[in-house]
Amino acid sequence: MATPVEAHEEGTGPVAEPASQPAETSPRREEFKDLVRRLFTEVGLVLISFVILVALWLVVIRIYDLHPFYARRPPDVFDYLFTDPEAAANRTLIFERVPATLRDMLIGYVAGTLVGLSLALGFYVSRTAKALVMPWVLIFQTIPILVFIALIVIWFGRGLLSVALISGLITFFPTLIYATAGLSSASKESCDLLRVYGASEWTILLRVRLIYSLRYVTAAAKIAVPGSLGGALLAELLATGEGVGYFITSYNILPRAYDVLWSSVGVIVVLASAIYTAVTMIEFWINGRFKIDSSVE
Amino acid sequence: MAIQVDGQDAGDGPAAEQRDERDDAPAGDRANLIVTAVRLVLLPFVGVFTGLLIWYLVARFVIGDSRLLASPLEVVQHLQDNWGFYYRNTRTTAIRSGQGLVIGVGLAVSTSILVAVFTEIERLSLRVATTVFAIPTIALAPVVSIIFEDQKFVAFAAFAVYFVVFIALMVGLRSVDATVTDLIRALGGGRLRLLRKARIQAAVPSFFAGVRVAVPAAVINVVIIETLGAESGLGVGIIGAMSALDSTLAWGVGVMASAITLFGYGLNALLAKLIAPRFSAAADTA
Repeated sequence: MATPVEAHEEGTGPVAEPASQPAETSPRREEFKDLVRRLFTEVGLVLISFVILVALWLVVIRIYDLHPFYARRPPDVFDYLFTDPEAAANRTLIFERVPATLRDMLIGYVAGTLVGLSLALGFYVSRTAKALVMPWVLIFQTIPILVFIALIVIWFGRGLLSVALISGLITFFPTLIYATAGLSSASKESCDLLRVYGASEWTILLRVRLIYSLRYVTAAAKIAVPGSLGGALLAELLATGEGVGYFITSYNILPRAYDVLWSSVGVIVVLASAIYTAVTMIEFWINGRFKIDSSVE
Repeated sequence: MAIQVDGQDAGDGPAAEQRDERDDAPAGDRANLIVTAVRLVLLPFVGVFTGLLIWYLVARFVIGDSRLLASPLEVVQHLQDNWGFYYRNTRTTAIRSGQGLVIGVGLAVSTSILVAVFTEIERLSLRVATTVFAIPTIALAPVVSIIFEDQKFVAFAAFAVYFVVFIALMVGLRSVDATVTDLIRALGGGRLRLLRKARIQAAVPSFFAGVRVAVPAAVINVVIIETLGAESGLGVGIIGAMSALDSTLAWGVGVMASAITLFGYGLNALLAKLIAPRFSAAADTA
C-alpha cells in the first residue's frame, strides 16, 4: 500500500534529481502514508466483519428454517436493489430517505456534543454545580430513552426540534463523561508553562485543557456517533416518519414489504459501518495532528 | 473577571478515572474534610431536592395542566391509582430484561474465554464486536422479531447485553501487565496457565463494569421491542402515553423502568462486592 507512494517519489520526474533525496520522506508524507495504511486496515476489518455477519445471516435463516415469505437472504437483497427489473425504483425508494437520516443524525450529534462539552466545562469550573446537577444526570440515565421520546413528542411535536432533542439526549452523556475525564488530563508541564507566563486559569482552560480533552471527545465519538444514528432512527420511526427509520415499522403497508424491510436493514448496517470507520479514521487523524501522545507540548 | 478554578494545580496522568485531581487535598486538614463531605454527600441531596421542588413549582404554577406536565406528587398519585397496571407491566418487562441479561452475560463469558484461549483471533474478534456494536440495535429489531417471534424480547436484550459484556471482558482480559505475562512465561506457563492465573483476575473489574452498563441496555432494548408490538410490558405503556398525549403515564412508566434498572445496579454491586475479592486473593497461589 505504501509502495505506490514511494515508487512515485523515486520515479523519473521532469527534473531528474540526483540521489540527493535520501530515503526519508517529509513528515507530511509520513502522516499521509500512515493515514492510508490505517484506512486500509480499517476497511479490511470492516469487510471481514461483513463477511462474518453475512455468514451468520445465512446460518440463522437455515437454522431457524425461516419461511421465505418473511426472510430474505443477502443475494435476495442484492437482487432487489440491483438486478431486479424495477431495481432503480427500488433503490430510489430506500436511498432517497438516507439524506434525511444523515441530517437527523448530524443534528443530534452536534447538539449532544455541544451540550455535553458545555456541561463538562461548567462542571470543571464549578464543582459545586457538578455536585448539585450530576445526581439528576445519573437519574436520567436510568430512565429508558423511550420515555423521553414520548415526553418530547408530547411537548414539542414531531418536527426537527424533537429529532435534535431525542438524538442529542443519547449522545450527550458519553461526551460529558469523556470530556470530563479529558479536561483533567492535561499535562502538568503544559499548564505550568502557561502559568509561568502569567496566564489565567481561564486561559489555561481554553488553550490547554480543551485541546487535551479533544482526544477524549474523539474517543467518545465512537460511542456517540452510532448512538446518534440510533437516536435518529428511533425518532424517525416514533415521531417524524421521515428517513430510513420509517421503514422499520411501516414496511408492511408497502408492496414487496419484506424486500423493503430487509433491504433497509442492509442499507442501515452498511451506513453504520461506514460511519464508524469514518469516525475511527478521524480519531486517528486528530491524534496524529495534535501529537497528543508525546510528552512535551 | 478571572474565573476561580479553585486555585489548585493541574494534574496529569491517565484519566480513565474521572477523579478530579483538585480533590487530592492533604489529609488531616479538618476544614478540607468538612468541605469534601459537604460536596460529596450534602450537595447531591440538595440538588435532587431542589430539582424536585423546581419541577413541582413549574408543574403546578407555570403549566398548570397536569396532562402536559404533572407534578411529582401527581405522578406518585397516578402510580398508586393504577398500581395493578404498573405492577403487571413492570413485572413483565423486568422478567424479560433479567432473562436477557443472564443469557447475554453467559454467552459473553463463554465466548470471551474461548477467544482468550485461541489468542490469534483475539484482536480480530474484538474489532468485529465493536463494529457490529456500532450498528444501531433498533435497525435489527424487526429482523429479530421475525426470527424469534415470542422470544424476541429476551433475544433482543440478550443481543445487546452480549456485546457490551463481551467487549468489556475482552478489554479486561487484555489488560494484564506485561511484567506479569513475562513472569508466567518465564516460569514455563503456557496460555491456559496465563489465563487462569492472571488474565481472568484482570478481567473481573472490567466484567462488573460491563454488566453495570448492560443493565440499562437490557431494559431499554426490551422496552423498544415492546414498543414495536406487544401485549404487555412497559413499552406498551409508552405507546399508550404517546397516543393519548398523557405525560403523567409517561413519567410513571419512566419511574418504574428506572426502578428496574436501579434494582439491577444494586444486584450487580452486591455480586461485585461478594465475588471480586475472591479473585484478587488468588494472586498469591503458586
